[in-house]
Amino acid sequence: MEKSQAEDYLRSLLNKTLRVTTSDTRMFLGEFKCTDSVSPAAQSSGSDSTLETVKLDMTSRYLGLVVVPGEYVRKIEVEEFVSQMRKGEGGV
Amino acid sequence: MHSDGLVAISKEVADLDINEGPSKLSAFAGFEEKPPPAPKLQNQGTIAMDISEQFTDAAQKLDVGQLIKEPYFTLFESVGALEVMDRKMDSGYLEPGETMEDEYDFGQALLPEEIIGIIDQLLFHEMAWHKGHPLSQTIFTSLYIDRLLAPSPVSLDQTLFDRGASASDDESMTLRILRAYCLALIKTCWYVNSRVKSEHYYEEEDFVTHTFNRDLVEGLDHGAILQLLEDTTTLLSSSPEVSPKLKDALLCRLRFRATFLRTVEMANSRNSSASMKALWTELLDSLPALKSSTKLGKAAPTTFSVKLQRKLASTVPPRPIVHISDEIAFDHLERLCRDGSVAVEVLDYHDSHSLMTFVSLFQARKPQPSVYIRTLLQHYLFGDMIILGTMSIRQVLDEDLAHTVLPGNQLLDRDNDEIEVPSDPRFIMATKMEIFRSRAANSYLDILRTICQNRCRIRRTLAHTIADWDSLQLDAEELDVDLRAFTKEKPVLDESISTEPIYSFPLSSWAYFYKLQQMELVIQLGFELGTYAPDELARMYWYLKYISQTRSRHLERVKGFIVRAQRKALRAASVRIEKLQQYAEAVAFINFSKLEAASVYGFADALSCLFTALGRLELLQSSRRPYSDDSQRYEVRMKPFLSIGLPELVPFEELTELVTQPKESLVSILKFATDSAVGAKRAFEVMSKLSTEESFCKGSHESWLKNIKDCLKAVIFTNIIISKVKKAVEAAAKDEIPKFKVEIPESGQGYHDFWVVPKITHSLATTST
Repeated sequence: MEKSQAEDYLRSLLNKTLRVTTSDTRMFLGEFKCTDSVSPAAQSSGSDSTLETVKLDMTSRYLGLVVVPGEYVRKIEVEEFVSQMRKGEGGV
Repeated sequence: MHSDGLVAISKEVADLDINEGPSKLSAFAGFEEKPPPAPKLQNQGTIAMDISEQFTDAAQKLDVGQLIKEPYFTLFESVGALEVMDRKMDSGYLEPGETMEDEYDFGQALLPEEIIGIIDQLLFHEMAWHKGHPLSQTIFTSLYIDRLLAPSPVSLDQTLFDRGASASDDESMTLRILRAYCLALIKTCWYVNSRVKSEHYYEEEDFVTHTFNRDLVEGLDHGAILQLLEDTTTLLSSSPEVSPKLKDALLCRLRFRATFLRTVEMANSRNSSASMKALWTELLDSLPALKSSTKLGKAAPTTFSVKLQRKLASTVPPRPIVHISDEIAFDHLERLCRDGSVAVEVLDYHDSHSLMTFVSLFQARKPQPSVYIRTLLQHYLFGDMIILGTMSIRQVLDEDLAHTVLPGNQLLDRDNDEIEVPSDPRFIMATKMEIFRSRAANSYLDILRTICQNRCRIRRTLAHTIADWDSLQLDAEELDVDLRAFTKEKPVLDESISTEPIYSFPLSSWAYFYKLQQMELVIQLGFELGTYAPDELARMYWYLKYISQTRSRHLERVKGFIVRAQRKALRAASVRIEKLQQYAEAVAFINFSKLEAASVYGFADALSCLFTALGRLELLQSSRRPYSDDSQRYEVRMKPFLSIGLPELVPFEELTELVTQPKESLVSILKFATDSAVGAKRAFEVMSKLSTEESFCKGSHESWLKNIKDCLKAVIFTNIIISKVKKAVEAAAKDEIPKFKVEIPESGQGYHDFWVVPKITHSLATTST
């Protein structure tokens, strides 16, 4: 991936709903607003306006704006509308 | 970017109005509403795709410091973000090995001693909350309380602590006592919280009303909880399980809680001060038994947990539990009862001046009554815009006008309202007076409402309200001129005073009087709060003297007109007795207020001269302030008075001349001080002998007298200091500066908070030189 492509890709994710899972098994769900370059630890940091969801018992609460340091990110997922996905790209 | 924001904020702050009701600018405000429902992770229309790798790869390509961000995402927003996994910000962060929730077995049996321990700890937490700590760090840290609140119960059956599958049907006696007590405690808090919230107070400065989205058993009926308490009391008293000593301790706790709950419920009604007073006294009487049996309790720290805060609607990580000692808690509770029983006395209305005296003396109690009591007082005073539950604002306002500037005057004649002919002067008088009332009523009530705030806020808010009164005075002046055409007021012609005819200007005189009184209070509160530096004291006391002297002169003028009208009324045969009484009362009030003003300006002058003398002797220490000079500091200090039209602010140079009296010798300045102090002392002595009626403090004579006696003590002590300084100065005349030290007492340490009397030490060393 070229740098410009990378920028476009990240830009395309802006304002989409992301689910970020952290190393302590919590999941943060919310709109993606901003990210910066990768830290030496080789993970990116995402700054999300999120709803925190604790996986264990599925209790959740509203958090407001949070920043997740890259080193704690274990998994990033994007929510897509099924109806807006082109055929052949993932899908049901 | 921020400069605009700051201007906006400072404007917002400056525009804050006392009428706005409780400020909702709390940091918690966002959490007052129900949080949004939990997001669904499984949804028909959406699908989640793992993009961890793509995202990481793409982000790695970015330059260091490069940001990919949404165009409307600002730096301002980003600094407000919470950092996940940071223990100071992330409330969900767990230390290694730490669990999210407490493993606590609610079915376990508790000893009666432990119940006493928990109950007392809860009471201390309740008092800590009354003192200004949030519920989250006090009562809400109890596991049992949490059990009752979440989920919110709608009936008493849902309040059992032990809800597991293995729970036995029979609730143990100890748990039953605890449950009844806790429910009543939460209900008590609900009453207190709703009262505070509905009045004017400062969130997080005075009190934290935030309940973190817990509803404080709103769903449970007050009567049902009381019944549960009573049933539990009966059950316990006939139970053989508990030893008599512990039983008594538990019983007195249950009874205390029932009384407390009934008191805060009853406190909202404004019908009878006698029954309320009885309740507060009953509550007070139950305290010694509580206090003495506290030692029987066994602390149960495992039933409290900081972790519970994670379940509350708040983004902050758990903060430590607030612990206050039992002495502080009981002391606060005792004062609450005492102040509560005094506050209800306000409902016995005598006259408007006595009401004002009552409120200001009540708020000056040391330490100041707690927020709950202060908001109760506000409720008694203005609840539903009905003064003290029985009177209209007009009634109070008209009475105040009649007893100050317009006794027996046709302007206040209620019959004027009956006239329907628009051309009739009485009709016009009624309309104009109504305009005045609608303008003045709020300003008048604001004085009372302001005095119900904390001491610092009183001073701050008064600094704003005097500007309002200044404009009220101007508006009233116009009305006075307009009204003259209809009242056919005959001016006084006195060549010795002025060649122009002199009119009485009653409405603006009234406004001027109250404005001056508030200006005096602003300065006096400055002394009380220790606002002024030692080298400012001479200047501020001089200013106090200046304002109170102005008030005295103004009252003299008002009195002149009243006495003239009174003589006229006495000559007229048809005047009703009530009217004559009004004249007499107005004259009495003005005489009293003049006497009071005389005591203030005498004392203020004495202290001003004394501090000037000490300043000349270079005995007043002041810190080095290289970035401002006296005149700049004076300008800032006098900012509230800068906008006032009358009396105009004295320019700095002129003031310095008047205060420092450079042409006078040290000895003569000290002589002036003695003369003024002697005059003030005489005035205070006369005042201390006045009857309740004469001093316009019906309902609060005791505290009024104490206040005067404290002033008297202060003035006597001042006299002693003046003569000490004088002696030292005379003895050291040939040498140089007499050697002694001046100590300015901390605020609250003197005889009276309004009067800062310096202390002199080592004066003996002086005489020996």
